[in-house]
Amino acid sequence: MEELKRILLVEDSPNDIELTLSALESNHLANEVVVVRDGEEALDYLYRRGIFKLRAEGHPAVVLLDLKLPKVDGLEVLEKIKADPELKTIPVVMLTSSREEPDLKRSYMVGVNAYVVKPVDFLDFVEALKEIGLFWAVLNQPPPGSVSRLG
Amino acid sequence: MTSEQFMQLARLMPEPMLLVSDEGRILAANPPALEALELEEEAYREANLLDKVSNPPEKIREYLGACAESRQIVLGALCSRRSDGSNPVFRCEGAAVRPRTEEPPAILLLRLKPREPGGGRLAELNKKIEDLSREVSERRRMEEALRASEEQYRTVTETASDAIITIDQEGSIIFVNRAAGKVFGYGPEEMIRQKLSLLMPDYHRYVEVASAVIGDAPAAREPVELSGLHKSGREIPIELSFGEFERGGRHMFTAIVRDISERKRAQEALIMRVHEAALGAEIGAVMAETDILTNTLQRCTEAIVRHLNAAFARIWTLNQAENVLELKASAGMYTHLDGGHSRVPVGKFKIGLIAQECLPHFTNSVIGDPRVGNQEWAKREGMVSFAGYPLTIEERVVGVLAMFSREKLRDHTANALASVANILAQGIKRKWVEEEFRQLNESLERRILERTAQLEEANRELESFSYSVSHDLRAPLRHVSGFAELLQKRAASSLDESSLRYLKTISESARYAGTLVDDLLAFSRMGRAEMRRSLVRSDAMVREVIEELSIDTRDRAISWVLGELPEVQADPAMLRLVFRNLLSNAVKYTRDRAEARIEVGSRAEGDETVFFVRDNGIGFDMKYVDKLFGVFQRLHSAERFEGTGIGLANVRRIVVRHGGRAWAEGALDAGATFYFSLSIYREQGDHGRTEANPAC
Repeated sequence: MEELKRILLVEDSPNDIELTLSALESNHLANEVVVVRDGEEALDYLYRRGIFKLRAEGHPAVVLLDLKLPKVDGLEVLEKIKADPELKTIPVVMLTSSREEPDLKRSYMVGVNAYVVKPVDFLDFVEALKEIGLFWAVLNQPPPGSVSRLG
Repeated sequence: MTSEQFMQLARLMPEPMLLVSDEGRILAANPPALEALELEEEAYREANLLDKVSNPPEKIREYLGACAESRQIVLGALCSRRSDGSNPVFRCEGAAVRPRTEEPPAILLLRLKPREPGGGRLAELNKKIEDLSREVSERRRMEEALRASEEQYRTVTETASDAIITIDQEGSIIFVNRAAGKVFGYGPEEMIRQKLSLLMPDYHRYVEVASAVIGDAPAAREPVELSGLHKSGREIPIELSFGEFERGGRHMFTAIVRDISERKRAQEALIMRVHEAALGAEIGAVMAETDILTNTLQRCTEAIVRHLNAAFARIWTLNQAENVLELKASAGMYTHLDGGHSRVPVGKFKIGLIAQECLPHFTNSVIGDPRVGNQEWAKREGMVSFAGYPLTIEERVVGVLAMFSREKLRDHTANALASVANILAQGIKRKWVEEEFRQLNESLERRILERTAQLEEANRELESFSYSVSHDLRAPLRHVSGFAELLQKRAASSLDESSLRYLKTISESARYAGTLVDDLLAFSRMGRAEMRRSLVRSDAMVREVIEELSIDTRDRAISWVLGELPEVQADPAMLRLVFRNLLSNAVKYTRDRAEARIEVGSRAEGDETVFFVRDNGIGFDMKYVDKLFGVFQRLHSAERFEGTGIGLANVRRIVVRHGGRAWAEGALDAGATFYFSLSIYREQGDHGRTEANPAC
């Protein structure tokens, strides 16, 4: 198997976290998945501060970002990432329930790499995550500086 | 020659002399003639020579006729008829004083000489007298001729209505006729020997008399109009023609002067009539326009000033609640609407009195008119006339129209103003009704807008509510579906058949609920999404949709029949959804048919294109047709035909947003036809209708 890369999952719903992890697992995308519960934690992780102060260097291969998050919402996180020259090369995939045009539009304006609406049907969801994982965490060559789990 | 002149002359003559007409009527006779013919002093004028002589009458007539025709003296003999029986014979010399050729009857002078034998002294004397008489006669004739010509001239000039003035080379008046006195107000003696410039101070400007004086002909012979000066100092409009003639080697000029005051007055009156007519027409036209009342009234005052040469004109309308006239329009030297005249209480001042009395006030002598309060102002501004009219509708005053003028107003003008006042009153009434109507309309429109805004707001709230509910429902449904799936995976081996079925039902229900929510979200989005119209080739679009559907219909026998599918103006994504919904419905509801037949086509109806999708599927009962397009309305069980009941609701919503209609026809088990209309695309002009209501 290819060298597996780290995925940052930003999600506040425990149910969604469990289902997402389960779906990733069932797709054998056994990357290291770091789960953070809100936008602030996500930024802390990326900037290696707060509880992530001591984490190893390197960026995740992909950020799976929910739109509706406590404290700092997904769009703000996206904006911060894409506005920072250091972080903006990290691929960000919006993983959300919203199909609203304004959300879509704003996300793309800011520079989101992909926008995926979570399907209600679990099997469809598994399928969707499989494709996301395969592409971003396996097929896609992340920019230099990303860390692999083994690295 | 008159009888008197003859008599004066003939009295001196010792021999009988008579003046007779060529018919023999005795016009005059000198005493010797009276004696010779035994005529009576008083009665001879009615006598005829033929009765007084014994000559045969035809002979006498012949003789008189000869005298009348001839320019020579004709000799003859008369035999008098005396009462004493004696008939002395006279030699008669006859001559025409006024020959018949000039003017009948001819007048003849007869001189009688007693026929006596012998000569001597008497004969000599007679001879002398005869010569003298002839001489006198000749001279008289000449004078008479001249005199007649002057008489003629005088008769002509005296009866002429134009002033005729003759001047000499120096411009001095040498002759005036009676009319000249009438025109200029002078007696003849006051004008004779005066210069013509007394009567026409600037006639030189028009008539180059100066050049005529030095020998050239006057330059102006065409009549010219100029001002004459009446003795009273008043200027008179006159027309002057100049003629030149020669008399006794001297150049004379005759001025023929016509007083054209009347003509001028008539011209001015005509011009005024034209203005009055134009005013009436303009006021009518202004009134007919749909402008606001104050603008209309302002234009009316401007028209009055322009056409009637008013110094200024104003219109007040009545404020009934306060019983005050409010100045609404003012044109001419004053155009302001504020100040002292802006509000006039009914009954106060001349304007208020006109309204109170409901009677016009009209004067041509503003100075001294007790109603004109500010006399000093009127004097300073040279105001001459004032006219004020109440504007009445059914004897109710609605306003006042008034004007001041520096000229006299004629009766016609007054009449014109009265009819203008009438038109104005009618117009004001109509405008009031219109204004009321307009305000009512405006308030109605405002209420409709408010109500629409409220409805739109409510609609938006509902949309956003349904959106957020649908949205929030998705997450738990996903969780139910997800965990049921996980449970099934983990515990499938240890669960009995019923438990497995329960799990399956949970999964399916969650999935169905998810689809429902997704459809609802799509429906809600469709209502809010911006429309982007462009030209769509509907035939290509229908083919693409059929292609998409073919993945699910590979094992079906469907014959597609495509008719006319033109280009239309529509939002491509939305129109695609319409076709997709209708075609997938047709596919779905023909599932039971061994051979499905689905026809897609269109026809032009007026300015719309009507599309239709016809199938030979299970159809529907027409009594439920109204339910077809409602959200969540289904006519079939979920077991038989899956679906959420949103597809057709979406079709109708999209079509309505495009300004069209959607409807259906069908019968149970006999197929269904779904229709929708779109406005026809035009190469030029409007590109379809504008969106009626984006929130619908």
